[in-house]
Amino acid sequence: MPSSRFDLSDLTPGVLAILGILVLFFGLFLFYPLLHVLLNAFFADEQFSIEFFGLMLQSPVQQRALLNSFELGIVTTALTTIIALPMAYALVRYDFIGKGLLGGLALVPMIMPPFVGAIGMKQMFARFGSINLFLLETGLIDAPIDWFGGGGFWGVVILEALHLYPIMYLNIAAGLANVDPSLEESARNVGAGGFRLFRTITFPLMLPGYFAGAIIVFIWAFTDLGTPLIFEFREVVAVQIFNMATDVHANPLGYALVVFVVLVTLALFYLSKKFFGGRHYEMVARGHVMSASRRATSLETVLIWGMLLSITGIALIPHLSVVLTSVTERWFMTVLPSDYTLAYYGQIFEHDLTLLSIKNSLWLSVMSTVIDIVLGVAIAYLLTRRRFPFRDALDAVAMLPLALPGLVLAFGYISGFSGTFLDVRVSPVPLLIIAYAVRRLPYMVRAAYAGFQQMSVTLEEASMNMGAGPLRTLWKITMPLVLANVAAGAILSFSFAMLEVSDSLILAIKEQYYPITKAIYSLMGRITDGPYMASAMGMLGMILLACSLLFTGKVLGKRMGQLFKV
Amino acid sequence: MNLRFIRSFIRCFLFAGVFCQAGGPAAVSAQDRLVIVSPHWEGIRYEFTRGFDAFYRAETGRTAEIEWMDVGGTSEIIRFIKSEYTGKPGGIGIDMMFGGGSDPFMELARLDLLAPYRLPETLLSKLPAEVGGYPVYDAEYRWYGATMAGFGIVYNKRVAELVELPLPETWEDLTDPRLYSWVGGADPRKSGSAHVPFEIILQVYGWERGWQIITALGANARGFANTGSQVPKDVTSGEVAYGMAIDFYAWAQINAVGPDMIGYTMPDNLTILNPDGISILKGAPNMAVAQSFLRYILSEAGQRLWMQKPGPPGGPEKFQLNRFTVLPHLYQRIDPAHTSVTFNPFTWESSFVYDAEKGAARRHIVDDMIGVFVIDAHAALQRRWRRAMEEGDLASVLPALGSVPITEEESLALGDQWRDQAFRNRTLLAWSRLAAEKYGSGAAGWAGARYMLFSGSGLVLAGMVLYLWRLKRKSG
Amino acid sequence: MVSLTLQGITRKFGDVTAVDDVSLEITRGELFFLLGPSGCGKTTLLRLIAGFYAPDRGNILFDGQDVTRTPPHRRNTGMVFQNYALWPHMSVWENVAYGLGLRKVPSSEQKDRVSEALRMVRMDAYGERSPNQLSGGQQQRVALARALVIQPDVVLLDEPLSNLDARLRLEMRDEIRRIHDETGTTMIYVTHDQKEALSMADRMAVMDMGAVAQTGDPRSIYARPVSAFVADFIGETNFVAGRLTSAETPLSVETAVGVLHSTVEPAEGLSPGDEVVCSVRPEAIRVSEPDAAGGEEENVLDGVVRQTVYLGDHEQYSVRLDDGTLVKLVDHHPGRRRAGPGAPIRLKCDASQVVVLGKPG
Repeated sequence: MPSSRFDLSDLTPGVLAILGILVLFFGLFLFYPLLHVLLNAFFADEQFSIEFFGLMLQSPVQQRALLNSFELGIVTTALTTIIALPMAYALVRYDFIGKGLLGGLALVPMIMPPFVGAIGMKQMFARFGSINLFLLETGLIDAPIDWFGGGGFWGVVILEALHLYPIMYLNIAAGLANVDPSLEESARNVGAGGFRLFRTITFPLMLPGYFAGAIIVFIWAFTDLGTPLIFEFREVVAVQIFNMATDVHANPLGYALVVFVVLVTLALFYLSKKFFGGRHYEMVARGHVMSASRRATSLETVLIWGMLLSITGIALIPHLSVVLTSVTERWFMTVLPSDYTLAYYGQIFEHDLTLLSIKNSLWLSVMSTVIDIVLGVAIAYLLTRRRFPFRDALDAVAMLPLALPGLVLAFGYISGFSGTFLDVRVSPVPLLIIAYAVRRLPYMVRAAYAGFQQMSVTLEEASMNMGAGPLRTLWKITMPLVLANVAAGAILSFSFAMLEVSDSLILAIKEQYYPITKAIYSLMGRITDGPYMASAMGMLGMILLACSLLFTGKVLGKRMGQLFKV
Repeated sequence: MNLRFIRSFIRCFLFAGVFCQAGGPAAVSAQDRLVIVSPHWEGIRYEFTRGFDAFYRAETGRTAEIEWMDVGGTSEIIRFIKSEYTGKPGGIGIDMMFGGGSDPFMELARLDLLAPYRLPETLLSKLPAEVGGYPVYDAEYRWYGATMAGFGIVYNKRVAELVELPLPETWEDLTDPRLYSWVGGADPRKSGSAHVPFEIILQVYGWERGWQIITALGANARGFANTGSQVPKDVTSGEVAYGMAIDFYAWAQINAVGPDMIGYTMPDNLTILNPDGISILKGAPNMAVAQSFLRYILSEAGQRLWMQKPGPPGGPEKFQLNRFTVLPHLYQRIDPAHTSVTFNPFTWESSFVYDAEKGAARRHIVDDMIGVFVIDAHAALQRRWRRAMEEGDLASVLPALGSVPITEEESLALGDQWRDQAFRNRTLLAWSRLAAEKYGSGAAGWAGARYMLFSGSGLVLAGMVLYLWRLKRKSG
Repeated sequence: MVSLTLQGITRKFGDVTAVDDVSLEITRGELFFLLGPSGCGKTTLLRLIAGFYAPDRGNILFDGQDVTRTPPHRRNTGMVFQNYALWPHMSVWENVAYGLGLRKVPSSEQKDRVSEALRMVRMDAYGERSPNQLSGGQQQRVALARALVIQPDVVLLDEPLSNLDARLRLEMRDEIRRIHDETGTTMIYVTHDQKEALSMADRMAVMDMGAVAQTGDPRSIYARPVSAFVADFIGETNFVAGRLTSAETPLSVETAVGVLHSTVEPAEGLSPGDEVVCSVRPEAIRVSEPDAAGGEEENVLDGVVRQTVYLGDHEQYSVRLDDGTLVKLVDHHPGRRRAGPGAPIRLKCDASQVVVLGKPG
């Protein structure tokens, strides 16, 4: 059989039309704004110049920031590995009571929009915050521990690791699940055991999955803005970019930094594409029989429970503190709030700003999700079902937003569309929708791609053969069969859009268009009860994201991991 | 997964979206509109929107909708307005700017981006010309002080007690090495309210001594937040014990947790009260509405919102704003039980006269200098500071640490060149090298670890790639 | 039902020519087989007929109508896929009714035709099942019903039995043949299993490397292969290499083990002196009794028995000829053993059973 695809060389008018729309979309809403931002880095006084790059590389501040960002990425990746590896191993390879519960709990840290966590973290970890006060009261320490000390580096690393380890866990778990148990059995058969087995069989086979996760974590930590901002750890690239971009004179040096960040992320992106290009989709999608797990002995069960509970417990401290702050009436230098109230939850639904922002967010997210569904399904369809020129390029472009800091895109939109009908001052709605859609498109493409990949192309051919045209086939056969995947991807896109921070902060410049995240941010600026109200809003966001992830997990099952890969 | 379930789910989802849109954003139904860009917090926006609605209805019989624009803090607003006017010199579709202190309004006035409006005599006559030597409104009526802000030190009494530290009286007290790491700060490049105390320090102590104080205070600082409002919050949470802050942030915290816990002081003769402005922007599309809003803000009805507690008639409905009114007679007229402000700035005496022109002219240079010498180099500065503390020769080291490469005159002259980004960045680079020289890189212990970290991870990455490459080759 | 004409069909994938200048005539109601080893282009050819690929060159005619550029959904073919391709989100009934719905067949008629189709494949009791609940053979029947119910002009079967176990395969052969006879539809059946082809086909085309090597009914292809490839691919055969000495009937070929004569007309023009091979089927070779009448005998091969395999109804002999060539033969009356391993043996074959073929390569 030469190939099981449709007639590949024929670029039908339909395919050409889809490609044209995609080129237009990406050209207008990805490359044009990006170019707009980047050109600023190369032009000083209308003249091409690389002076800003020179200045960037010579400045001790920027050098330190670059080194710190790399360090942050590396250390965070290492830490997430240390947390996630035993966790994934235990959850994939052992059966024990409460496995489902612990597996679900392990994912919970993802539902925290990091800057919401910051409110709680300050309350908990301040030098006279709850933890220290508790330790002081119980006499365990006699001077407050400086949690955020040391310039904030470790604070950032720990918060990021606690936020990101689920992604690493999902990837490693997918990688491990991928290892055919019979391979391990046969290795054991010839006398390999313990570490040797891990080194020679398990590790090489799970390595691609691990590498994919590691790159996501690295890029995330490398470009993360929120967490370092919270910790006032300013010597990292993302914060430097933010500072320069928001600088009164719009310092172009910041754009030089952007170029650098984009180059680094693209290099990593290319690396992972090159070595696992297209392969990992199938590896996970094929769904090996998961019979590799074995019953844990009671001692092992206790150990596993202990390990997983303590990791999740630590990771959930910020969530807990957000819950607490959201019901706080008064909390001043005591371990727990001295007075409680549920008033803030009521206020959310009375207050104009919050109510409007919930509506706005729903509307914006629904619209962006619809765009994502249309584009994501179209892209995934083209990638899996058609062969056309620059196919790999389309694949890479669709995944590119994963590697772009949201900040960069938002600034590109602001400056690139200023004065056009898309100007955010006229209405930020179109650009907000598009920004959300572009940023979350990779998840949708991933999900749909997996769906198409699992589905035999002959099912569509059979329908054509029965006399159904391409559109009817898409509607009656293809869509129903990839619907679960599309729904899962849509829910992820939707909930991440609801909690999108950087685009919202920058693009939503009129109060009547505030989405939830900007409302939270704005509420935090409220002087006294701001944090409490913001926490209540944050809780709402967390509940929403938790429900969506739960649903997605139910639909996608083990394949969930592949949504978080480069 | 049940297919029908997913289908109906998606249907609900789309329905929800359409539903939200129907009742959703931008349901502008009022007859007139007004676009205001403002860094003011939500409570102020809410109360003045509500108040103006009634005022405008009474004045014109028409309804007006206020569109509040939020493009960030004061610095971002200024940048936004300036860049917008370069593209559209005739008008940028925004009517007013409200809040942000007084320097930004002076800057915009100097750039001729404000539309003058002379208030009716009945209102103008009640406004004092100046407070503490500072004009309350522009002589050419391009901006008015809508309220006032004082600058002082907020502190956490319980923390100070627990760690046995003194309570500060002056800016200089914040340089006390015992306060090391207990001082909170904000970045003046980001926050207008963070900028003012530094400029005050430079003016009251003089350029050279001023920089020494800023450097020492910066060395004592825990960190530098992006917004001025973060400082009193950090003080309240006990992360730091002291911070420089605008009065009303401090009042809000004191009102929330009690005067026995949080204190606020305005150093005698060392600080200012300055107006917090409002103005109409050049080419305002809704000029008449904007002028009406200005009349409202400076009327007694508008001014009461700043000071009164929510509830009693004439005051705010929901939010307590804790701000000064600029109408002196209101301090007597408002029932003391109904006011949230206990201090009358018009009775406040200060021998210090703030030079607003000077402050505005060198604002960005001073901010960048603080940025380079104190904030960006904070880690090195702190290390040097700690070493000096251990060696006990702070007094002899401080003049060198606090020295700056330019004189006061040069700082005032640099203003124009500062707009040339290449020049500015070259200068900043030279300064940051100077900072590294002054404080020493001092990363000796760290360099080894960093070297190991990078070479180690480089090796791991290379190994992994090589390994995978081989694997890939083998599998064809 | 239609007749099919393929005219010079060529289809390339990159540098590989999957189908190379294929021309075929398939008459109405025929059960036509495309037979060949994997990679010979037979499935590609089938998919070209279905319309999933467009040929680079050549034309496809249904009843004289050119359908080369007609998209697959307008061709009215019914295809049975190798993996059955039943839609998992529809019941068996819905799967079968799908094509009728598209053709806007009234629902009462739909009902009759679906149940008729299901009855024909003996799946009438399973209409409400989901395809996932069926066994491989049952799925295969449903796929067949789905293809038949739309009364296609031609039914295309792509290795329909390759995923079934041996017993089921035999059963389904009869089934498909029966259904073909019942419906009288033109069917094109792709397989690599020559037994399937021989036992079922009205006519067949043997394909090799994208091209048709030979077309004909099973008997003629088996008995009169036109090339060494066909002779080897269909059934078992023995090749004895030699040189043609006389191109006139009877042909005579001089081989290392003696002269072989053939009364079979050669398929291609051969001339004396050509290097040729003689193909002799194992069942056409007899053991010549050593004590039979002496003298010059025609088509005699001498050798030594290497191995014998006794299988009850027949016995297989493997003989090494004097020049080292191995020859297999079958004794259909193995009442007694003719010779044991190591024993010299004389073999005979009838001149009418020797096919002279051009030397391959």
